[in-house]
Amino acid sequence: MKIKLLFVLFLCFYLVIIGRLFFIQILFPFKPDKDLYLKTAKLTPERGKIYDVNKNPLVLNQNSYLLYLEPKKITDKLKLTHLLSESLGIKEASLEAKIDQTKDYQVISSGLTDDKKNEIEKIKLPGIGFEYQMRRLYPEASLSAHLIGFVGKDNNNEDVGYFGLEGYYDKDLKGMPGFLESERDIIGRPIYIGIQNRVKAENGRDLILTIDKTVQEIVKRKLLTGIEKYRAKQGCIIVANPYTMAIIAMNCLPDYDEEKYYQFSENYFKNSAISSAYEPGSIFKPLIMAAAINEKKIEPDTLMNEEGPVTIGDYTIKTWNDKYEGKISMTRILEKSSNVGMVWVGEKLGNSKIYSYLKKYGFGKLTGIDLQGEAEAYLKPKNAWYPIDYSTVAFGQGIATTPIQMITAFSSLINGGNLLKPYIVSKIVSETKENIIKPKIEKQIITKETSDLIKKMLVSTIDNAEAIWDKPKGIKIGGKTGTAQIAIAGHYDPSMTNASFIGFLPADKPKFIILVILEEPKSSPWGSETAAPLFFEIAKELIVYYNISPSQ
Amino acid sequence: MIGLLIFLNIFLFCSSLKLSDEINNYENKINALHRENLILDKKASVLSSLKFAESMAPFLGFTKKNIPAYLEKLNVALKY
Repeated sequence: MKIKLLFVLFLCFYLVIIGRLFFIQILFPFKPDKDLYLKTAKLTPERGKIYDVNKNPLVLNQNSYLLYLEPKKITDKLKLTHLLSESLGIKEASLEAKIDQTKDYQVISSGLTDDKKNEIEKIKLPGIGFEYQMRRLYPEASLSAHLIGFVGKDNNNEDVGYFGLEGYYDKDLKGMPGFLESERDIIGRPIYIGIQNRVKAENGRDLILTIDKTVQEIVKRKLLTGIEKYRAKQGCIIVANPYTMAIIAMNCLPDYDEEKYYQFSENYFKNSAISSAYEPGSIFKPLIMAAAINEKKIEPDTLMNEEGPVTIGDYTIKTWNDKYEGKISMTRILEKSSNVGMVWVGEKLGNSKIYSYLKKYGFGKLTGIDLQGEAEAYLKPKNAWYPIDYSTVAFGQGIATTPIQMITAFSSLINGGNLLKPYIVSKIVSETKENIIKPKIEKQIITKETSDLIKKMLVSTIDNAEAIWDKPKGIKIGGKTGTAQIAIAGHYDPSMTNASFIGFLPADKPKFIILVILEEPKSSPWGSETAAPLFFEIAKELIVYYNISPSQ
Repeated sequence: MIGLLIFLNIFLFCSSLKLSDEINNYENKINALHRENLILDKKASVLSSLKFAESMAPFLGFTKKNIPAYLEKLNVALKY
C-alpha cells in the first residue's frame, strides 16, 4: 500500500513536470536571451606602457568609464538630469533634450575617472550604468608629445595609435585580444559543468626608450625660453649619442596636449624634427669639408685665396659680411664660415663626388627612425643639377634636409665615420621575453683619420669663432653655426632665416651631439646670436647632469 | 545504491554551484585588483613625475636662488 502511494506521488510529480514543460516549450515557448546564458566577450588587452631610459613612466594606463543611460528604466527623469548635470558639468536642458526614452541605451559621457564614477554612483537612481574602459595616462603631461603621439579611435571605434611611437609601434603596444565563451546561470555566475572557453588576452608590449626624461625636460624648458627670447616662430632641439644615434631628447615647439589632442589642429601633430625639411645653411659646410679631406683633395692647412666674391653663371656668391681675408686655411674657412671658401672646396671635390657624398650621408632618403611620420627631404636627381647648385650646396643652400637627417649625417663626422640608424626604442618587453634593440651601422662614410681631423677643425671653429659665447670652461666643444635664408617665391629673403647650431662635447670623445634649430627668429637672424647661445645653455645643464669634469 | 547515486548527484550539483561562485569571485577580484593596481600606478607615477617635483620645489626651498652658480667669473672676485 505504501509503495503504491509513493508510486502515485512520484507519478503526479512527474506529470506536473511534464505538464509544465509542455506549457513552456510547446504552448508558450520561452525564448531566452542567448547572451544571458552563453556569454561571449572579447577580452581587451592592456595597451603597452612606455618608459624612459631609467624606467620612469612616460605613458601608463588608467581606469576610465563610459557612462550610459537605459532611458526605458528611468523613473525620475527630472531628478536624474539635475543630479547628472551637476556631476558632469553639462547643462541640464541639453542633457534632458538628449535623453530619448524610446531608446534602450544611450551614451552620455566617456573618459570618466574612478572618483567621478563613485560620485555618480551615489545618485542611486535606476537607468544609470557604466562600462569599463582604459585610457592613456601621461604622468609628465606633454613633455614628449611629438615623440609619443596619441591614441585615438579608428572607424570601428577601436583604439589606434597615431603619430610618434604610438603610431609606429601600434601593433606591439596594442597586444592581442582574448576571447571568452562561458555558460552562465540566471544571475551571471559561470556554470561549471557548462561551456567554459577562455583564450587569454595578450597584453601589449612595453617600450623602454633611449630618451632621458630629465634631459627632455631641460631641452623643452630651454627651447621654450629660447623661442620667447629670440621671438622665433618655432624651434626644434635633438640630443643624441653620436656613437649609437640613440636619441636622448627630441623636442619641437609648439606642441600639443596629448590628453586633449582633439582640441588641436593636425598641424600641431607634425614632429618637425623628422617631417619638416629645412635648408640647413652653414651647419652643412663640415660635411662637404670632410668629404674633400676624405678624398684627399685638401688638408686642414691647405690654403686658398679668398680675394672677393665669386661668380657662378649669373650668380655672385659673397661671404656673410662681405669681408675677405686673402689666403686662408681650410680650418679658417669653417671658423669664419666663408661661403666663398666653401665654393672653392666644392670645386676641388668635384660635382660628381659632391653628389655621391650627399647620397652617402643619407640625404634624399629616410633615416628609418622608429617614429611615425618621418618625411624624406627631396634630393634632386643628378641630371637636374645646375652648376650653381653644386656651388650653393657646399655652404648648405639649395638642399633640403630634415633635422634628423642632419644630425645623423653630422654624427658620422665625429664618431669615426659611421652613418648610424637613429632610434628611440632600446627595448621591447613582452610578458615572456625582452627584445633589445642594438645600434645599427648603415655604412662607413669617411675614415677615422678624416673624422679626427674634422673634429679638431670643429673645435677650432668654436674656439676662434667671430661671435663670443658664454661657453662652459675647461671643456672642449666642437660645432658649427648655421644661418639659412628662407626661399620665398623663388628668391631668398635675407630678413627671414632659419638659425641653427650643431655641436658636440666633450670633443675628444663626445657624449652627446645637440642640434638646435630656430625658425625665423626676430631678435637676430643669425644662428650665432640665437641658436648658439641656446646650445651653450643646454650644454651647461647637461654637463652638470652627466657630471662631465672640465679635465675632459 | 540509488540513494548513493542521488547523493552523489546532489553533491556534484552543489559542488559545481560552489565552484561557479568561486570562479565568479576570483574574476571579480582579479578585475578589482587590476583596477586598484592602475590607481596605485597612477599615484606612484604622479609622485615621481617632474611635474610634481616642479610644483613642490617652491615649498621645499628649491627656488631660483638655489640654481647652481657656475664659478666662471672668478677672476673678477680674485682681484679683491
